[in-house]
Amino acid sequence: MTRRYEIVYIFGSAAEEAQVNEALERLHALLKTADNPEPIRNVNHWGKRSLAYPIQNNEVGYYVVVDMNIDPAALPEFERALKLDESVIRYLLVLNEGEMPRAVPTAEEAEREREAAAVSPEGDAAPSAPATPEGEAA
Amino acid sequence: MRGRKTCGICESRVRVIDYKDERALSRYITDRGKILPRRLTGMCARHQRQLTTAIKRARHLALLPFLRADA
Repeated sequence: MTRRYEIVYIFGSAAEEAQVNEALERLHALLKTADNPEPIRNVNHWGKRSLAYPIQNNEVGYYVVVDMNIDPAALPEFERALKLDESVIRYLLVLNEGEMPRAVPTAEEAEREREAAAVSPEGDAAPSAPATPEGEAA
Repeated sequence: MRGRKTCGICESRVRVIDYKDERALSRYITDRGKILPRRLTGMCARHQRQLTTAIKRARHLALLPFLRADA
């Protein structure tokens, strides 16, 4: 069973693209398992940007955002390796919430639902209380 | 923003507030870097919660400051 995660790495300012790619390859090798041979979906290099506050005396960090499917069982080992890797000054690993099961209904949608409820035959079919007294009468 | 009934995020139909978009998030922090309260953002509870999480993640990634010193 895999779940979709998103990870943001920040490498120290000394890191160049070649070193970053090498480190990523090394780390991502830990995530490959027999039933999950291709965990990486997308790698997005943001490149160097200035940090909002210094991290380990770095004013600049090299950001990489990776979208991937991982078996959670592989995570403890992966995170251990991440923490030991000195080129990674900061990381964030979160479940990818790109696809939510259900969106918050907008005002427009709520309106449509209310209308649909008002149209349905005779009060008893409307599940939620109509907003206005007129609605109740109708 | 005052007196508005609906949440701006709901209206814009954004599903998830992205912690990586620090320019959008910076609208919801004070000059010093504090998260604006719901009474000022006008957000619904659900989106204010998402916003808070997003800002905290962005701070962890040094996209936003925890504290900005006096200008």
